[in-house]
Amino acid sequence: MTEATVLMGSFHDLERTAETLDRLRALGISDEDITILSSLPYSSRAMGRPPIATKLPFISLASAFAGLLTGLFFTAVAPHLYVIRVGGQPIVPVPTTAVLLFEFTMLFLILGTFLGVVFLNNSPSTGPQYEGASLADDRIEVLFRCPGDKQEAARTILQSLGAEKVYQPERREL
Amino acid sequence: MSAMNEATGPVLSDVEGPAEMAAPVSQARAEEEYSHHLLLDPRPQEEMNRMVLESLQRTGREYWIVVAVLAVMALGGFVGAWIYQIRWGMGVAGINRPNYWGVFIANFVFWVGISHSGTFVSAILRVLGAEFRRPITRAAEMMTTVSLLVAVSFLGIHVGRTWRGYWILPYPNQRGLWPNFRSPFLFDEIAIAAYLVGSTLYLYLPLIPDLAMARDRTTGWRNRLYRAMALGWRGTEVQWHNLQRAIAVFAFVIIPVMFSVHTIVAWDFALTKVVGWHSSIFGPYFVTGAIFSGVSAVINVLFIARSTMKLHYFIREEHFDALAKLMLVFSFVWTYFFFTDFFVEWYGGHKIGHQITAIQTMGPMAPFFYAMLFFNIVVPCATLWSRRVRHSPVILFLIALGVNVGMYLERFIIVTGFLRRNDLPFNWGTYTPSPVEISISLGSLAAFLLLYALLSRLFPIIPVWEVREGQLAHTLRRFGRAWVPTIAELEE
Repeated sequence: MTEATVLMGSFHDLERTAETLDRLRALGISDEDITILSSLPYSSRAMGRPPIATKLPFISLASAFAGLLTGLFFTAVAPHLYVIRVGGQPIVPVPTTAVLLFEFTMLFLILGTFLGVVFLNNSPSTGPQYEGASLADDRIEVLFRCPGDKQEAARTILQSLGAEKVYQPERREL
Repeated sequence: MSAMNEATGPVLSDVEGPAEMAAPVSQARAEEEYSHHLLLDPRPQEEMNRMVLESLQRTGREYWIVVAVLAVMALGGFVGAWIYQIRWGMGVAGINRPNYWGVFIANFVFWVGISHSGTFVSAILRVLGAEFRRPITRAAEMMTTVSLLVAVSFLGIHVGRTWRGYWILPYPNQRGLWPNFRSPFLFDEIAIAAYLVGSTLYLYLPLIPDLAMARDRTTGWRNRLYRAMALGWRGTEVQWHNLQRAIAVFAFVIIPVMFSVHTIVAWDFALTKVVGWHSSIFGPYFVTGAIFSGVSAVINVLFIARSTMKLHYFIREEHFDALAKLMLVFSFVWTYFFFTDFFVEWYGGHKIGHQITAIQTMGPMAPFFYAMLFFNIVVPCATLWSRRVRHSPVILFLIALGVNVGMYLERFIIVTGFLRRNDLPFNWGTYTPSPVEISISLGSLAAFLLLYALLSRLFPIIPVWEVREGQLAHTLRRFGRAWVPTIAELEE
């Protein structure tokens, strides 16, 4: 059995791309070995691909909770370290505490979501990556790892379904 | 009367009388009919990318002259006058007892208000699924970030000893100065920090695919900049999925933050015991005013960007029309809040309240007061009903400019007019902005324009992928004998 290689096919049509994916799966190439690169956010449902699970909602929620705790520290814990008595008002008044809890929760939620998406997208890229030659050019690139003995069959599938180009991509620094 | 077109088949022209049967409109004819809608007038993505990249490099001699003039005004009028104030102290400003707050605070409120444009146009319209927003979101978001930076600077300018600004940070220090979390000023600090961070990241996230597009099509310093900022974007399914999730989270989160920020700014006034300020309606009144001025400022910016960057394909009359309708609606809402507040003060029987309304309507603030009503109510309500006006970018630009002048006057009146009278008649006074205050105020406008002019030539101001996505979702569908636009739900 010859060594697996990475192949890429460039399409202009969503329907044909989805058909290509079906045929590649039938050839024995699993979804884990296939990546779609596109200039537009096509849903996995449109591609006939399994849904993408993301941890982003959990990261966002955890960040919001961290913000809530930070807010609680500043508004409910810290004032007891340096008690400022103002006209008989409580040290930790609920209305003002609520305002700051909200702001801290939102601030951390925003920061956490941003850092989460950066982390989950492996950004910034730390090494050379396979990239579509015509990103943002209305093209959909199918990138897949193909066992050596299936290369010819895979190439035939891509070409028969109208791939504009079938090639072995090179990694490059992004 | 129907006619036959060889190329497109039967087409509908004038229908004479109810008895005559309308011939079906051909698809080609319908496509032409709807081609004034950006989302029904698709072009290849590569062509759109090229148009946007060309607009970034459209910096002729006139552009650099304008940038140079703005830079001189910003450095001299804003930075220079601020340094002068730091050198000689707050005495060079016109503030006095009892007018402790002057135009610096009016400027702060005004610029925070302008910043609401991005969130409103981008986040709220995104959540509501308003498709016309697609090409104009970036321009509005950029305005949010720039205007917030200008707004924050006024907090430093107003407090005087700017170099001790870190005293308001929430950490204990060796001087025994501890932040009081019950103070609305600390609310301001935290809320504006959350809003600035949120709106900047909300600008940045949808920009990443466009930065990657620019990275792959530029050379030199631009390429290095875009390469660094694109964070290795490749456009994989996982990247798109995470990005869209994050944008959705941001869109929902930034809306309550926006409302909270301007409500808290309103509380800076309403939580005091100053007559005229102590009003429970100030929160929604300020938020409405902020969105009103923000939407108007978006019209101003879009008009300038469209004209100078040749973005006529992306920014069309339909977008001005939609924004003008929003401006009209917010003019009504603002009017409602304004008169609700004003009427209570006028009718309430409080002597100082009467003094304040007299200052506004018959006293030294009267010219500003009536100019405010003219620009914010009379002009929008009298003109924006007309479709012809809404479809005229030049006229809309002037109306929107007037609204921004009117909204600035509103802030000026609230901040500087109401402090003149209080419950202690021996403590009454007047206020006139000093040349330093006027210089800093005009300089801040120049600083805003300068920053925006530079950023608009640095980063793609049109979110091409969002426009293209919208174009894929919009199609014409046969409905009986007509072709009508339909929108597909492409997202999961």
